[in-house]
Amino acid sequence: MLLYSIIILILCTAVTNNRDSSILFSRITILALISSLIVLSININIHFIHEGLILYGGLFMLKSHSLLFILFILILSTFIIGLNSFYLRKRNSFVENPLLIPMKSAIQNFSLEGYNVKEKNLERNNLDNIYALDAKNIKDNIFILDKNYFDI
Amino acid sequence: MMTYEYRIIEYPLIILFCLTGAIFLLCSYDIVSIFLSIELQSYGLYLLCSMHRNSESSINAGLTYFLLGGLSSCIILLGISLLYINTGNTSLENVYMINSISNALANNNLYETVNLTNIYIDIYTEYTYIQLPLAIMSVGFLFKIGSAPFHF
Repeated sequence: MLLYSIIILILCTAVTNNRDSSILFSRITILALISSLIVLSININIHFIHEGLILYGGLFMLKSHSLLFILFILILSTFIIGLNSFYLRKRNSFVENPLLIPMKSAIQNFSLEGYNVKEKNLERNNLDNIYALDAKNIKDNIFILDKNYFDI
Repeated sequence: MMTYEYRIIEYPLIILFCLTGAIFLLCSYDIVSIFLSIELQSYGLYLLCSMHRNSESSINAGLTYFLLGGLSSCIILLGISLLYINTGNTSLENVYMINSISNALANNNLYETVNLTNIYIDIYTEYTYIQLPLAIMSVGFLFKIGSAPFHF
């Protein structure tokens, strides 16, 4: 959903002649983020997400408690974009500029924190780890068994 | 007369790129995908810092942030490459597994050079070496998010 929104927004900003339509793009982005929120809150209830879903051969892994952090980041971003999507009275500078740096730090810190929470609750289900566990057994048994056993 | 901030139409697009990087960072399960998502997030933030084109301080802040971010990326890549040279894999789960196995063997006073089908593995050296790339990567991550010992 987010990737489709990004592609459509790139197309829209590339072909537009009207440079004054920033508010329109911001409101469309808010709509896309709200749609992503709805899709994500439905996806939390899928049963196998609790077990974990590995994508692209172990590059990415999705679990239910990382979905909660994604939900929080989406709400935060909706608030940030909402600062720039309505006309404000008696303000003529970037409203969000003093807010932007703490928000950025908060987003990055919460990303890393959620990542740590996810990493603590991992379950081992990768094929390489089965190999590593097998190698551990070999290392343990090498003090007991004959070494010629491994030269077959 | 419309003010300056309402004429930047790329603002929601850059926020969406930062958001995509944050979500990928939350879902990442491999050191390579962690680095790529942090870079995807950081490039949007560099653009956000220097978005106010008429302001000299904004350009100064953006350039400084870009240079320091590049330096911290170098440090993170140094840690990743040291880890990859020693262990031969980039999955976090495998690194965790190797570290815990080496730790368990070292605690049981089993560390010695093991002859495993003509491959010599020095378990104790591996256990002590694996802390060094993790420390370097931690320094890079703290530098990247501007955390306490490395805030400039």
